[in-house]
Amino acid sequence: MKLTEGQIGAKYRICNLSNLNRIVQKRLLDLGVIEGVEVTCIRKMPFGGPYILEVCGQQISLRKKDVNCIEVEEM
Amino acid sequence: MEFALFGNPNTGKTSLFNILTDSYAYVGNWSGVTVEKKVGDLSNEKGQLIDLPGIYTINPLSKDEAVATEYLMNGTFHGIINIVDASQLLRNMQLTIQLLEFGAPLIIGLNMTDVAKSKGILVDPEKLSEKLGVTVVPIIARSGHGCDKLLKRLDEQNLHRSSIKIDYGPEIEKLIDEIIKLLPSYSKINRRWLAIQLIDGNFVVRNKLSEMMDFALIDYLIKDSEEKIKRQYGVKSISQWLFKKRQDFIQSVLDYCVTEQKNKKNSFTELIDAIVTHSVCGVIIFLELMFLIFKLTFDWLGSPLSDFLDGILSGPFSAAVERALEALQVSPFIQSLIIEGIIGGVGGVLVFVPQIFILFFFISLLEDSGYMSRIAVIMDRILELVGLNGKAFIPLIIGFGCNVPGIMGARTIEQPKERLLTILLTPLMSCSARLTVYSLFVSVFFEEHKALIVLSLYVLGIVVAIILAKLFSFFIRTEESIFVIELPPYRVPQVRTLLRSTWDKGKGFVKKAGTFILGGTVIIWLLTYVGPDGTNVQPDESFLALISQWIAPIFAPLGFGTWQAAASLFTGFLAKEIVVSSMNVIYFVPDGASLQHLLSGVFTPLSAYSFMVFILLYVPCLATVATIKKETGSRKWMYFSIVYGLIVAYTISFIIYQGGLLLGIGQ
Repeated sequence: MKLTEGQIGAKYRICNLSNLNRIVQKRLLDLGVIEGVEVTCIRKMPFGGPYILEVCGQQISLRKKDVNCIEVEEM
Repeated sequence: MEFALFGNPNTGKTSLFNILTDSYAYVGNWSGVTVEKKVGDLSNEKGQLIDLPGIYTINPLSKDEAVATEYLMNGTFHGIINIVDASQLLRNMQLTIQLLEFGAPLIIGLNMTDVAKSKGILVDPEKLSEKLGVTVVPIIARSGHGCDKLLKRLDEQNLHRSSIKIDYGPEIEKLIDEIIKLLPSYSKINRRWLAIQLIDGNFVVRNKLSEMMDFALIDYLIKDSEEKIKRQYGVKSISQWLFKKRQDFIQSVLDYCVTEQKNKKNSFTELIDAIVTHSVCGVIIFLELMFLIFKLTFDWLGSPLSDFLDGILSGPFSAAVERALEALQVSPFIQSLIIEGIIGGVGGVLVFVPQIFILFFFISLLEDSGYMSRIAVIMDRILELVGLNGKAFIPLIIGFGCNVPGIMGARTIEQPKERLLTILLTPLMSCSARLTVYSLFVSVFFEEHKALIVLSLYVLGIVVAIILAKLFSFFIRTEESIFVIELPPYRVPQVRTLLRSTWDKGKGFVKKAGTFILGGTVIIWLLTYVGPDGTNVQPDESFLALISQWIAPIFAPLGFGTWQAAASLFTGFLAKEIVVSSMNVIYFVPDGASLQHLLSGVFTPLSAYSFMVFILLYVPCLATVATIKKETGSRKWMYFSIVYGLIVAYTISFIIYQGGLLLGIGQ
């Protein structure tokens, strides 16, 4: 399922990032975010704003449309 | 000896730099690109330290990051200090591994050992050193703990070249060997490192080598191996494979030297974030905070200090200089130049130094605390609507201090078109130089609502920027906008770092007063002192009046069609503070207090506001224009920034003044 469909605060495992824009993929790779790591949505900003995610022990922010491209599975 | 400081963003690089060095030897530009190059003298006087932009990997994404890679390849350093965050080793060591593969002598500063400890992560520096083959010194850069040890070990005995070799698997190792054979034989850089970076797709390395060789075969080999790897191991790309192989190695090292207790959460950061990034409160808190900063800068702290300084400069100081000049029997020409020209003009600007330093202090505070990246998140949705991203808000806020570093700050934006848009819009941010003009006018016309009126100008700048961003984005087609930002944990800012970064930002203003503004003021003074009928003429018959009278009628519909206003606007192109010093000189007043009295006769509140709006929006100052040219690499955009500024300023001031007249307010 898509990460945007998940619950806020719940842990998921990333299973596909390949639908993301290439530059976003590269930056996520720099941050250690690859298939197989755990991710939690901490918060989303109003009016379709960005999400704040916790992944690999750090907090990052991504736009909703990008979070929508992250496929995850239940743990 | 020259040392280079490498590390991930947000790992305390700046803190370490400030502690290891006494002063900036110089701040210059890297050849070819206008990215700040900071060099500091090591405090043990053994050499210099070069501060590099924070990077996650040697393979860059933005222009900012490319600087670090280029320096690694072309720089003349004797050793590398690699600062790593002990609480984020798995990620930080990706860079470390690539630096070790490069083969330069290296020492590791294991930073934030305290933060790691509080998270339950204990790193054994001895074991880490043993595994990596280089010296590891545990430090806490924010408090300076351990930094003296690090400094002592910066010598040849302690800087080792590591002999680690990551095994990238048979397919990639074969590919590396094949590429090494194809590389030009005279390259002085480690060939295995070059090959690995080429496989990773590092464009800086590729560009450097492309002058000496052909890539057709190498590209084919890489593509072929990538297909094999993808089929065999199910990875998504060759870069990801390299990343995973490094990570496997790092994990094996960490298993050996890190003991992890139960992971405690950083509740401090979470608590603050629950409030400041709250969906409703976030924006309100941000605006409240900005308002508080303006209140402090203008009403509560800045104004009394400025008044105090003004009292000294225009009172005892001016009188003492006058007496001294008379005692020395200096000619009236020189007396007038010094009293009316230099003290009146430059002094009129210098009185605003306290306010400017207070503003810079708060900008440094925002930068250092970790709140800046939250602002980017809060503002992203609004900026996305106009084709920008939240990261653009950071250069814009820095632009409040000075547009020049703001424009340079746009380098962290990955997409070139988004970066261009940000650069073009940054001059609309009301910089501290313009503040001098506002401070002068609000104290005359808006005594009751100083902070509110000034805030309205800052907000107007932002609103105009947002509208223009939308407008420009129709002409400058942006690529798909990118927004990925790391939110570092909040940290209590260090006094030392804060004061230093405030001083670094503010000293330019003081320097400018002694050079540009002094020069501009003397010229203005001369032009008012000399006229067709000789020297010491009535101001209305001076050359300045004659020249400016030609331009003045253009500004009549905006409410300030006097030759004095036109003359000060004209010279304001050099630096916006000159507007204030020009007025001081033109109206022949040696001190700010009586200028304020004079102004209330010449301007109405409405025309004063219209004048301030014009100052806010019209052409960027000379230094900003030069920076726009350098950063965009084109004269076209430089001229564009001047022309659009004039058009927008004229239009909005016209609407405000004529609208105000119609409504009958502020006259």
